[in-house]
Amino acid sequence: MNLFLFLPETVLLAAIVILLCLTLAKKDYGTPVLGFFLPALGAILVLASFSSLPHSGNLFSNAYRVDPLAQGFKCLIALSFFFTAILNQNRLSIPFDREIEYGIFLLSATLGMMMMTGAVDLLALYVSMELSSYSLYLLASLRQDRRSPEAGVKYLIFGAAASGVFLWGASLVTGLSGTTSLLEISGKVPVLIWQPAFSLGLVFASFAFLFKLSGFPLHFWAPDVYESAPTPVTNFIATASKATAVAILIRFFMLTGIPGVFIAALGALAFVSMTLGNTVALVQQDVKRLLAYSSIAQAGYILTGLLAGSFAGYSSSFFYAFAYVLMNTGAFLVTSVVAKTANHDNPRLSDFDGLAERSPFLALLLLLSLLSLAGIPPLVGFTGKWILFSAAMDKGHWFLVLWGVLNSVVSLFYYLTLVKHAYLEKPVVSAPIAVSGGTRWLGLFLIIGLIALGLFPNAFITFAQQAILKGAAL
Amino acid sequence: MDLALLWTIQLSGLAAFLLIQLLPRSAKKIAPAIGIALSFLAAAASAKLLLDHANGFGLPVQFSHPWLAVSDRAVWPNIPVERYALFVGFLLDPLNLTMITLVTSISFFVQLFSFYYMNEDRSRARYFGFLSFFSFSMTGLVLSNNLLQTFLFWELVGLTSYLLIGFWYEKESAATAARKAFVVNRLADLGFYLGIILVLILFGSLNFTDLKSQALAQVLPPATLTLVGVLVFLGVMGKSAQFPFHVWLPDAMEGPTPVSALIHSATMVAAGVFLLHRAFDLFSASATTLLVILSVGCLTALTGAALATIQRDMKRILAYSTVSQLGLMTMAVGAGSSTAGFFHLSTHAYFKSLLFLTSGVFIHRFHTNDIWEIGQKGGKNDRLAIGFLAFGLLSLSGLPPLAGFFSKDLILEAIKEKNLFFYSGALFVSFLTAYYSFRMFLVIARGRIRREERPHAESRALKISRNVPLLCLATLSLVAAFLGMPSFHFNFEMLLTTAAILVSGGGLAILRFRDPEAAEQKLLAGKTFMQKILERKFFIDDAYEFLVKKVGLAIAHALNRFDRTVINGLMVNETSFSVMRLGRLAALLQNGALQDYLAWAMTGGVLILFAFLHFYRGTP
Repeated sequence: MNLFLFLPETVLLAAIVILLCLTLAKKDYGTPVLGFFLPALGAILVLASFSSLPHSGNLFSNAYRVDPLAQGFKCLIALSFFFTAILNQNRLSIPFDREIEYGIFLLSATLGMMMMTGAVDLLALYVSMELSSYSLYLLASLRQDRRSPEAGVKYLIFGAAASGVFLWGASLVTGLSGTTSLLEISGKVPVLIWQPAFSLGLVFASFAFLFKLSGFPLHFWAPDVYESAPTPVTNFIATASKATAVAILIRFFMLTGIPGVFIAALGALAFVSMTLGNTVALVQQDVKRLLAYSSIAQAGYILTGLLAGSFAGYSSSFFYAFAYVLMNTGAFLVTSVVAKTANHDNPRLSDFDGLAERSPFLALLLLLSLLSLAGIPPLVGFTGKWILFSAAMDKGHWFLVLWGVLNSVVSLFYYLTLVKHAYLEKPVVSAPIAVSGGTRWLGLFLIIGLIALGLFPNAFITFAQQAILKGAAL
Repeated sequence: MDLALLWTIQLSGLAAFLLIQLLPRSAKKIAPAIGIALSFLAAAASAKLLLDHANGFGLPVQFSHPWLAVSDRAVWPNIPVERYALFVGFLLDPLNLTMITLVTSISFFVQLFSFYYMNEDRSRARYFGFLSFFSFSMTGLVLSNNLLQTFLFWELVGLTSYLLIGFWYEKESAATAARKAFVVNRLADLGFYLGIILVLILFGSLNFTDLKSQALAQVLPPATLTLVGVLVFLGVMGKSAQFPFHVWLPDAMEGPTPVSALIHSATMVAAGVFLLHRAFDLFSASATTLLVILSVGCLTALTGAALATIQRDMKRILAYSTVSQLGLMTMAVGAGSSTAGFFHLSTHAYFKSLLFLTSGVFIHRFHTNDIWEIGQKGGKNDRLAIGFLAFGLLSLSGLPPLAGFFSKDLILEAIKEKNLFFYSGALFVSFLTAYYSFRMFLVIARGRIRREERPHAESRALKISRNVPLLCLATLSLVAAFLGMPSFHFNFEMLLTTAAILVSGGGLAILRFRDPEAAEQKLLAGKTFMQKILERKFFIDDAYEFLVKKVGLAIAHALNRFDRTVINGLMVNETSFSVMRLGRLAALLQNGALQDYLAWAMTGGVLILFAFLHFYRGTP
């Protein structure tokens, strides 16, 4: 077996073992672990993922597939982990005596997500999904106040219900096809699709992934969890978890196809997701909650691309997932620094007042991230939305595209409200904000990425297209 | 190699702008050094490019990169291109190689001259920053390989022009002039933008290499071709100050004089003529468009030249002269010879920027724009400046063998072949040009000195930064004609005609202004009917004012009422309120009760189940 096929996962497993050993030690290693070990590991993980990018093959009796699609998303997840590890410098509400456990669960969640991108067996998919989900439930309830465990429990029960739906759908599919391997099921689809129960199974198995994507109607956990989780965790859920959901949906739809009726249903869900996310975000005061609703709306945009069901649709969803990780990390990075300065982990709009005077750099990063989320050229969010909507247009979903563009206008309102607080309002405290080294470098990287990928997206788009093409070849 | 040079040219302006912006307050003093150094880099790079490709060797070169794919459903179904994308890239051919050399060299000389001219200004750093940003935008415009990219940079040069006209924004007139330039250009650019959209939707490509008149004529019906051409020409009319959009250019003289030399005479206003040549096939595909261009050009040339004859403000004379020369270039394009137009553009750029910089020397020393006052304060004592003034003006009025003669000759020939009516118009413009050139020179050079102002003591650096650009520009304007000549042939009849016009125009001016004092007395004593009309600028500004103040305001009041009640009240506010209301309503869903969340989610699932079973007809 080629070691490269399983390199990122091996790195993660080794790191988990090391951290588990550290918990046994008498001395508390929490600070060095979060301050040094995790960022370093994140860098190693990114390197490992990129170095294993060109490899492909099958592992574990064909239950696990390594191809450019999986490896590309693994790089994305590794990047997202790395970003979160750097954001940990601004952590505020993670209890001191739980810092190593926090690290372990972050790693196991990452491991679960990476395995999800490669799983091509319903059971392997289920197991890795639960591995990541359970780690996230624990991470979300880490804060020591009343609301955080409440949000964690909501997340857990909602996730359990979604798992139930997935298992129900999966059992129908397995029962009719006689196998749990997606690759084998894919070969039988042309025959079995005539069975209503089979396509119903497909529909509900993929429906459950809307939970991970936080798309309507499985989005209800998102605002509560985003609000109550520690900010780095929120960033991780918002970026890595969502990217994984995109990976799984691409894999699933590509192997089994989307039943015709379900396309219409997905269109309706995308429509409601966009509308609901953007309108409710208008009336939010809590910034993390606002970003939660924005992420629900973004799920709607991604669904628009996915339901096109074409290579262009899948590859542009891949591109958009990458863009989304960049711009969302930018927004959360600023939020975490502002939270740290205000000394409470739920910054409100008014906490952003006068950010431009206190730290022009952060204000610029916030401005670019939010404009990119709203889809303003020449930033990467615009390019992503452009190709996403072009793919949907090609398949004739012009109404959804029109609605998406109109929704972008609505979303500009709340994004610019935040920008207005940062640039136009007078600050209550005018002391400059100190930005630590790692955060500053990450911010610079994000600014360059947002602009450069927006202007020169073609290398990445070509890569995404290649990944999709190779992922589709059985 | 080419690509590296092109990137150097393209980015050095931006780099200078960013560096100057990022300078800490204490180091703002070195801003001019940064601007001058990087503009020299750009000029050197383009000189290298020119030497590499002398005589058009190895041209054209194109570096094109697909930027965004356009959905097939967004373009007209029967276009010839299969899968369409918007491109970004450079296109380098003999045309813009000449233009880029011109832009970067003049830009360098003007930056150098600005060191002298703006020496005492407090916001020098801002000035050099804007000037560098202008170089960036202008090179982008020239190097672009497609209409959309051109349009983006077109807007950027418009923006920098606005910022620099209003550079002394504390002055009421400067702020107004900047606003006027911006609004007039916006109006014209709307047409340009619509034209681009039409070309993209109907033709499917915006790349200059694809815009060939045959290909266009195959796809588009003649009427549409005319429409597209005229719409794009509207943009040209705004930027190149063509009638009736020319009103912004004389007011733009409120900006610092070096800015007028660079932006409002040599480069930016010429961008329109450059585009005419660049996308010539887009216009020449329709004979009607060419006729429109020819008539607009003729009207512009006449208006500008006529108005230049009565101005007292030195910069305004030059501004109106620019308007009329731009009109001549446009006429050449309209007559079908865009080469002649472009050739005149390049010679005109050098001698006109020379003239503007010379006027800058006078203005800087005598603190007035009035030619009579300059004469009385001792204008003729500045030997060097007077020499350059004479050289520039003679070139402008077309004395052989100076640069202006060759290019103007080519234009006259082209128009003569086309249409005798327009030919006589062009001849009259040449006559007026000689007249106002001689008038300006005589009033300054023959003024009776009353209260002479001594020049300030100047450091050597300042002297260099004043004289070197003038010398270089004068040399270049002499050389450019011989190097850039498209095709030389000696036309004796043309030579005679121009000589006759020069003599009669100049002679008339000498007759009237050999004694400027007396001429001024006579002017003050009484005005003829013609002078009154000229002073009111043919009532064009009045017409605008009437349109804006009376008609415009009446419409505005009506629209205002409509706007407040229907658009703002019913449509905008109601829409935004209802979106807000929808938001508050939908926020109620999030009531914190887990059982409700699950109920909603499952309802969604059940609805899908129901839809599935209901619509399932045995086919997936």
